[in-house]
Amino acid sequence: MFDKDFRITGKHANYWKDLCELAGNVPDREQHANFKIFSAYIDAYIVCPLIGYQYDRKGVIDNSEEGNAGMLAEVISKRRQELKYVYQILMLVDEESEPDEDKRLYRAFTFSEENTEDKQLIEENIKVFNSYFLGGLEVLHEQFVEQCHDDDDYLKTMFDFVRRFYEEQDSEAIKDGIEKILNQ
Amino acid sequence: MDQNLDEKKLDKIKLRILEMETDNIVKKESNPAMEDKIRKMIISEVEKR
Amino acid sequence: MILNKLEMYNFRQYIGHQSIEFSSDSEKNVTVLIGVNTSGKTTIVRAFEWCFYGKNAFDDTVLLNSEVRNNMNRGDVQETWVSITFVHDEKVYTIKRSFKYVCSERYSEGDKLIVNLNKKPEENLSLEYLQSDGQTKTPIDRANITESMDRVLPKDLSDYFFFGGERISSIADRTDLSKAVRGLMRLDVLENASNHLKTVVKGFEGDIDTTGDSNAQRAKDGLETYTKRKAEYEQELANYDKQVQYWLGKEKEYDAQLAKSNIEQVKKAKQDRDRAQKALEAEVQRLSQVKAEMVRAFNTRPYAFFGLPAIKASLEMLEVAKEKAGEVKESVPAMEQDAVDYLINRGYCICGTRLDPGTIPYMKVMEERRVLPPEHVGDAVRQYKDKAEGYLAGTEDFKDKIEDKYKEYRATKRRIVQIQNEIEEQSKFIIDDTDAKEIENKRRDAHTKYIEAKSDYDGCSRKLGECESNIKNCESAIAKYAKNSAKNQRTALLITYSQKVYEWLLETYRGKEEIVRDELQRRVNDNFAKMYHGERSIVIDDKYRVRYSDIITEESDGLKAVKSFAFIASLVSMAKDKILDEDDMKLGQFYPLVMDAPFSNVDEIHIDNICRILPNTANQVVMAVMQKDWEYASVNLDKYVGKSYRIEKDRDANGKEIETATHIM
Repeated sequence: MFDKDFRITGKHANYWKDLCELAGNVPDREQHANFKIFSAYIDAYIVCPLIGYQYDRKGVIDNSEEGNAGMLAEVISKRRQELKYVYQILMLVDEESEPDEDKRLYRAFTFSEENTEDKQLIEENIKVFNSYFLGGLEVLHEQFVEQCHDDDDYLKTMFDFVRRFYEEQDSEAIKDGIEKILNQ
Repeated sequence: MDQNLDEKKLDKIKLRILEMETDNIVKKESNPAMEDKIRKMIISEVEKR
Repeated sequence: MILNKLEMYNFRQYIGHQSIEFSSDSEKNVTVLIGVNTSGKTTIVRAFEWCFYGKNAFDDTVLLNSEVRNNMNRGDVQETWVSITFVHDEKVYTIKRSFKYVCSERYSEGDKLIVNLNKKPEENLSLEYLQSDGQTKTPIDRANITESMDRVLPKDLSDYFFFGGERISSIADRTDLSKAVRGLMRLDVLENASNHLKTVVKGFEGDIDTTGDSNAQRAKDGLETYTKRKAEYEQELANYDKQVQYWLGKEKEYDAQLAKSNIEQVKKAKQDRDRAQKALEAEVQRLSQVKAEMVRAFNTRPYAFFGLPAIKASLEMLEVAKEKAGEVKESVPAMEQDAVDYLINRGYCICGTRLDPGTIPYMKVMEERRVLPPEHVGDAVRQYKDKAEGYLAGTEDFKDKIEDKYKEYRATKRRIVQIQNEIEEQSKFIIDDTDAKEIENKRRDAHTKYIEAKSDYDGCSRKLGECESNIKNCESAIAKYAKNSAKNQRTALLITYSQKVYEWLLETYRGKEEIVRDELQRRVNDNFAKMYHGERSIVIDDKYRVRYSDIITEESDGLKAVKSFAFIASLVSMAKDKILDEDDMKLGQFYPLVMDAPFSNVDEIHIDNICRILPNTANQVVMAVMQKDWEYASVNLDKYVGKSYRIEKDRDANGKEIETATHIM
């Protein structure tokens, strides 16, 4: 997994371009000339699934709008470790796609793609990952691109978004809890 | 990739082009005219034996 | 080119035949023509220009001597001509240009005499050279004369070698001397060759038949589009650059004017403002840095931060799972989950008991399954926990870093506003002084326009860069295809040869240009140091403009003149020294310096210095000077004077000078 080209179309592709620095030959660069919160497509691909999960948003490809964006396998492979990590988190906690706890454990720690069944399983899982990715793109697009007009707005929203997220989670308690678990 | 270029041919082309341009400082032919001349010169030099 | 003789007949205020022989002695290479103010010095320089190039810069364009004119009756024909004998490429040439005027009418109006001439005088031009026998003259075809003269001393460059005192200061101020310098050093040959060849290469590339490959075809189409666009952008960029330079120049001009102000307050406010301006620039730079840093912080392991709640939930889940498994103390040796799955699937245990979901046997078996290997699950969990720990460490930092950066951003913005207000205040101060008020407004306006132009320029430059990289992509796609297609191999070969020559041209051009510029700069500084009594040094920029390497607030006319002299002297000496001469390139020529009233705007101490080096800069120096200037200059120049003449006017019965009857003696 996370070793092939990845491409999406439709409105989410445009959201992706709105949020990330564009690289290489991009014909419609002018349509996405705003301030960018992500340095590259891959950075968004790693974190948006978590944001999508947090906001409980699963996106679906919507081709009613023209759009096209993607990454090459080399780019994805470079960040495979981090992608795997995020993937594991989602596999463990997403009850909607797998209500059974044991099965969630199993799917989070099984990576072999030896036979067709395994391959299918992984494919299904990646679909979950990607749909939360799309959801995360939607959330960030709403929070940032649709509300901000200039660089000042973006920077302020980055600050607010992070602060709010922190406060909502009562992170202290969360962190303490985690700390406790890890150090048992 | 690189075909082996004939050094002599290269030098010949360099010389010819400089001669043509030096003359043209005074003759003042148009750019398209010069480009055409140079193009023909290169084709003939490269295709020569 | 070496000047031998100038002859004039009834030309302007010179009546009759005048003849000047120029000194060509290598030591005494100065020819001086001394006269009183309006006695015809400028006319001599203009005689050169008219004879060589047909240039008529006189206000009143009639070249025929007025007295001769006034004696004409209807139908009379009179001629005026100028001829110059010179040596070029070891041949002796004589060029002669004449105008024949016909009198169309003559009458009196009151006590005024009116003599009208035909509007277009008949022109004759001849150029001939002497054969080596010293006797036979070979004429050059009339149609080729202009061309030939241009080869000897290009018209575009003539301003540098024939000039009058008033023009001197403006020469080194010209905005683009590159054409002149390159022409002089024959760099234009290389430049033209490169430009033409570039187009030829593009032509060959266009010949590549890409119809077999859609990618290559797309690349070809793309190349065409981008190339067009690139040309447009380059044009736009050049326009924007002109504007930027123009407004920057204007702003500097007004700045310099303000600096001249005698009022201490204005001076100080201006200094303060300049200081504040610098500080502002630093803050603005810092601002964009902070922005970038904030984005960088946001992109540093954001998943550790945004995944925090989910990670906590996952760790809790793992804890629970571990505890559940903990009820079973041991696991059956060598038994794996697959084995249990097999039993569950077939529906009954090893001992034969049915394993139906919900029954105790089933639940017991499932409990066992939880602690069973695959071993890798345990490892994987451990790895996962380790990662969580590692990433966890960064989450507090993430939020703090972002907060800090944002605070810094706000603080920097506040500082910027503060400084801007300061600048406003100082500007107001300057504005209060009524004289400076207008200048300050103009300066502000120029500054705004400069900023706008600069932003246009930067935007265009960016677009141009993108365009160029798109072009490169297309070209490599086409090249890749060309290599693979048998049909295109001939064209590919042509492209390879042409490219190699093109690269060689560019390299050679750049190398020579560097040599020229370095040498020019060295000589200008050399000459400048000799001519100027202060401390200054000169830098030649990429447009061959002469700049001082330190910023100055004002430049006297004398300084300007010295700067121009230094530049011209260097240019001429470089041509003389044929610094780029190579056997196959035939560059470099001798050029004379012909000057009219060169010292009219220069103060004495500079005249001294200039005179000391002038004779060495050109092969021949011809100078028409005012009597009073010569008294001063002769102290230094006398020993270099090979020939000297006086320009005198005839006097009438009352001893008054007759304007129209000037002679050279």
